[in-house]
Amino acid sequence: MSDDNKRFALEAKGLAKTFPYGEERLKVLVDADMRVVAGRSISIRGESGCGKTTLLNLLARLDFADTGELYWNGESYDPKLPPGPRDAARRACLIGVVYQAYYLIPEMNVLENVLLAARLAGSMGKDAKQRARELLNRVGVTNRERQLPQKLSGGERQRVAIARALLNRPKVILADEPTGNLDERSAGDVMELLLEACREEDAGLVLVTHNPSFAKATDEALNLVKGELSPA
Amino acid sequence: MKLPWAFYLSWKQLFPTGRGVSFFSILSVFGVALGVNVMIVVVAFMNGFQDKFRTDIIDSQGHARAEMAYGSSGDWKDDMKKLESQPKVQAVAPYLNGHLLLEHFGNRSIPFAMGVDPVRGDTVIPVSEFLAEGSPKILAVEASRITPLPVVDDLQDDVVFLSRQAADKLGAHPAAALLTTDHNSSSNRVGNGIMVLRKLDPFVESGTWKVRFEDDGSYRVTDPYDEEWEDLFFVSEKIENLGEGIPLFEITPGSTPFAKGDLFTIEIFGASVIDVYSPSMLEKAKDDELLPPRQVRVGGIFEVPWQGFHLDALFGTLRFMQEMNGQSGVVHGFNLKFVPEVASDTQALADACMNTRSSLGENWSVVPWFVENAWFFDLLKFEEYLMVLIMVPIGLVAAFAIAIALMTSVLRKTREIGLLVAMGGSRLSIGTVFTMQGFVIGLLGAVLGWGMALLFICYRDSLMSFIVRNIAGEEGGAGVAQFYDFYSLRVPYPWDSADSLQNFLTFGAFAVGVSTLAGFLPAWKAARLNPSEALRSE
Ligand SMILES: Nc1ncnc2c1ncn2[C@@H]1O[C@H](COP(=O)(O)OP(=O)(O)OP(=O)(O)O)[C@@H](O)[C@H]1O
Ligand SMILES: [Mg+2]
Repeated sequence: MSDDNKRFALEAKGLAKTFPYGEERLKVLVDADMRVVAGRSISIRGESGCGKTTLLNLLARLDFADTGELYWNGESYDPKLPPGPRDAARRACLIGVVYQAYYLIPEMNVLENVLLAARLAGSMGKDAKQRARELLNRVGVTNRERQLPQKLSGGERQRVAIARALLNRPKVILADEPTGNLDERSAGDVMELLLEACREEDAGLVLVTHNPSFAKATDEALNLVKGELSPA
Repeated sequence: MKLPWAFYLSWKQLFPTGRGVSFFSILSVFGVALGVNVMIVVVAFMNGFQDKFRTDIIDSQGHARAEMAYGSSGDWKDDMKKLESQPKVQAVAPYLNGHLLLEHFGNRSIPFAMGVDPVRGDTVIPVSEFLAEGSPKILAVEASRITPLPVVDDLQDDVVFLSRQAADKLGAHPAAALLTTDHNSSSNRVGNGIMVLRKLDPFVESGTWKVRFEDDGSYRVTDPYDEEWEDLFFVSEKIENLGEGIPLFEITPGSTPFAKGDLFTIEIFGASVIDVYSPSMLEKAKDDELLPPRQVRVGGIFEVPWQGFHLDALFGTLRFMQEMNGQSGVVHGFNLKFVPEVASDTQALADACMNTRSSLGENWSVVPWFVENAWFFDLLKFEEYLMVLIMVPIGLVAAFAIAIALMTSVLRKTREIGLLVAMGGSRLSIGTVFTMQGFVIGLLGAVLGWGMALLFICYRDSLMSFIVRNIAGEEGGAGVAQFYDFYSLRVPYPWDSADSLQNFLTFGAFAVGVSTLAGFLPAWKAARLNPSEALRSE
């Protein structure tokens, strides 16, 4: 692998994706390029239904593309193949995800939810526990590690989800409208936290958002229009 | 803890943090446990019944019956010696069976009469146990305290034992005694010196016997024939048999010493004397030779636990039966008992019967008990299989319930499953989460079911009487329990018998297997979910 590749936490070239749509195919992504550098953030804006979530799914290897190239931390993946066990194993270590709905496991308390990331990556241990506590402090959910998610507010739940995404020191965080379910004030707080935490943890951030001011706060702002990414 | 995360997550879904255990887990585990419990208990009890009937049947006819096709030509004693010399044969008892007509004060009964060899006692057929079963019930409490049980030794040529039904029909009874006076334990003495009858043979006449103390250690006995006080006896003395027709009293001093003038009065009722007619007498009557009936005394009442046994039955000596049948020196066959290693294994017993037959000769037949009673055991086995056949679908219903619950859980957790994939979970692990839940429910259910089955087996009598009383009422309950001999059922624990252990393990494995399968279907569905679509689902 070349040094060129290694420079990016995540790199995608020429991703295209169509979905079957009756007789024809719906062209969602045509030629999407993206380069994510560790510690830096990228925002993606676009109309509803333009393919932002689809793009994140392709980047995370949760779905397959029609064409294109994909590199995680310089490792090459063929985005045209359906995701397999190798993708899953590397995804656990390299990629962190944050979604609009917080997706915490209701049967487990806050700390156990964060630690689930370590269990999935096979790196469960004392260190992981220590780090989970530090991250929970960092995201501002202190002294609540034994509580069940249903007892937390929306903002708090999303903070826990951010801590979970960061636990395995991923190279990239993929965040799909992480503040979509929050009121304005806590949305601002959470967004600030997410940007800061990714910078501190040296993780690249791909942030899908509708909010122009959040987009401005990122290092690079992109628009997804007609299946292609272009600077805002 | 390096548990694979799928195990961890499935455990957490069954036993969530903070809540301890989910409602779904409790219900499923209980459902499985009940199924396991019922299946184990039913089979255990069916085996108990079979075991009980087996013992009862063997008790009433030995392990096998050896008979000659056209009757024994030579001396039966030679045949018996031949049989006894067989390596696997433990005991041999000759028998001669037939029907007799009994009459007692106008009451009649035609019992199945069995001639047995009193010398051989109960080496093959436990006549004394049957007597113990039959006797206490006829006597009042006061009488049963002092009347001795009849013994096989009482069986003589002029004495017969009657089955309870036959005795009731005839209104006949064996000798009995009633204690009418007891000074030592009277209200102003409150002693507990005990007097029992050591021997009360069938030839004792009715009448009043008295035992009067001279001092605390010696007493005199008076019989009903002459009212004189007889010789002096001593409490410390070993009692001697004084001959036929004389009861033996045995005195045990209690806390309050006997004193001069202390008196026991014992009312004795002699054994009934019954008239016996035989078919051979009929033959003679045709020749205008009218014979008087044979008179015999009732030596004891017996009850045979085996329901298939003749209800109206009689035990007499072999010689009595030979005389009644006019067939002196003839027996019909032999009841055989084999050594325990052979007896406990049907195949070995069948082989031993074959071997015995071939060494005796072609015209002999040696039939093991399970062949003679095959119809009955086939019926029991059929009933057992039918029960299992009915219960297996019930077990499957529990499995369906588990599968449906887990399936619902998969649908409810679709987005969570998508997230788990997004966090790096493989399809295999996702599938494991749900398969494991089925497995754990099955395992816990099996263990709980085992516990319940053990409790059931342990407290079966009280449980059964509770159930029966509530269904059939007090009286009906007594009837049901008696009929099935439920209370004497031997239901072994798994650590006591290989069969029982196998029963427990089979149904435990069945439960684990079925509920794991039940978990497998939802697991398959979960593993096949497309993560990008799962994350999108509402
Ligand atoms: N599995 C699928 N099959 C068919 N069409 C799909 C599928 N997934 C997504 N699409 C279509 O692809 C387009 C892009 O969807 P996507 O969810 O990526 O949009 P989005 O930009 O994330 O929208 P939003 O801002 O509303 O979340 C939509 O028109 C959607 O209907
Ligand atoms: Mg979207």
